[in-house]
Amino acid sequence: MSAHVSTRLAPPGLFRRLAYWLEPRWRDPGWWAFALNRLTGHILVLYLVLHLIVLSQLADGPAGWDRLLEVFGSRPFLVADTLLIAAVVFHGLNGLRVAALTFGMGARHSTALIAAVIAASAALTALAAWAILT
Amino acid sequence: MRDARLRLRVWRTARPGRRAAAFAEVVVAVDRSADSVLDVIERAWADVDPTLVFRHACHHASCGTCAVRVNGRERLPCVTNLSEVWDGRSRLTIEPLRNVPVVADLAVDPGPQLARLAELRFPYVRTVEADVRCAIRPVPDDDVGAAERFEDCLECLACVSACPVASGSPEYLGPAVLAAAQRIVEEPRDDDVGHVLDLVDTDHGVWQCRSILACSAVCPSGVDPGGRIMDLRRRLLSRTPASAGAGA
Repeated sequence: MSAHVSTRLAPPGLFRRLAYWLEPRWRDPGWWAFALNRLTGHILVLYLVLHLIVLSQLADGPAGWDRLLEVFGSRPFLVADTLLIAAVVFHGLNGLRVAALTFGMGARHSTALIAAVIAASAALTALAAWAILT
Repeated sequence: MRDARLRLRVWRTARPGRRAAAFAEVVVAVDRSADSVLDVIERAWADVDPTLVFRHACHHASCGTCAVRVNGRERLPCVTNLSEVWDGRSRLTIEPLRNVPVVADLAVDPGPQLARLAELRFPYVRTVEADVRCAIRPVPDDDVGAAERFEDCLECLACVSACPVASGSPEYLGPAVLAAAQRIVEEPRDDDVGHVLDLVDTDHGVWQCRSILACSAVCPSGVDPGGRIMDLRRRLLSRTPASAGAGA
């Protein structure tokens, strides 16, 4: 009869990693802040690539660029701009929180700091939305 | 008095006659107000399925042996009252800890983590701290004298299980080991702590922590591993290059 006993920790495969991140169960605020930081970080990287691609359209001359600007001035793009600002603000402020933690500041008040980061991000995004959409 | 019936969804590993690991559901009679979750697991073993494998010893949050995940969250079932985690209707899900090798069903092997602790030469018994931060039963000030007890850490490995970094990187020393390292550095008692600082000042040491602090959120003994890791970082940042790798 085989023992079926293994005390070796299997190396984490892609499925195991994905399953962990997608598991909709109990999470603490620090985990949500980390996940949101990663998500906004990926959004910013994607935006940077798109931004460079759009800038390359300048090579087509003023007429082509003006047509692009008309598209970017449409309502859906302005809403997307607002969401992008939300991502930038949260990522930046949360980065400051994490940097403070690394220097030994605020580790015992992590949840309160996360709440402050979210509140400040929401306030700054609302201000940006008012400036962009009105 | 057993006044309710609980549907227990428990993780079972592969074994002869069971080809793949999967959840199994058993129904257990429980006393909703008096039973602990460990009582329920023991009853499932005694009354329903004697092949269920789980670890336990002290039954009072002293040994940390019985730690499991209850409805996804790391807990010590011996001091988790059933009424805290069960609404009386839905299923209760019990799984082994994450990021620790599973021997069978709910039983995990703490060996690799304990070996890392041994590498620190961690002194397991010390004079009790002035502020005993036991979440289960705080010790009144009058009782805190020259008594000796184990360090706050129960070595239950709930922190390791909750840590997303440990989930993705088995090489990571993990919050339990790093918290123990900080205790040694915090109170060296005339010992040279250089070897401890060298051990944690690596890519898989304190610098791999992502400041999520899930470890501190689940610790049943108030050790605050996340805060201790941050304290270690601050200590390392003030370490002079000449002392690194050659003592404190």
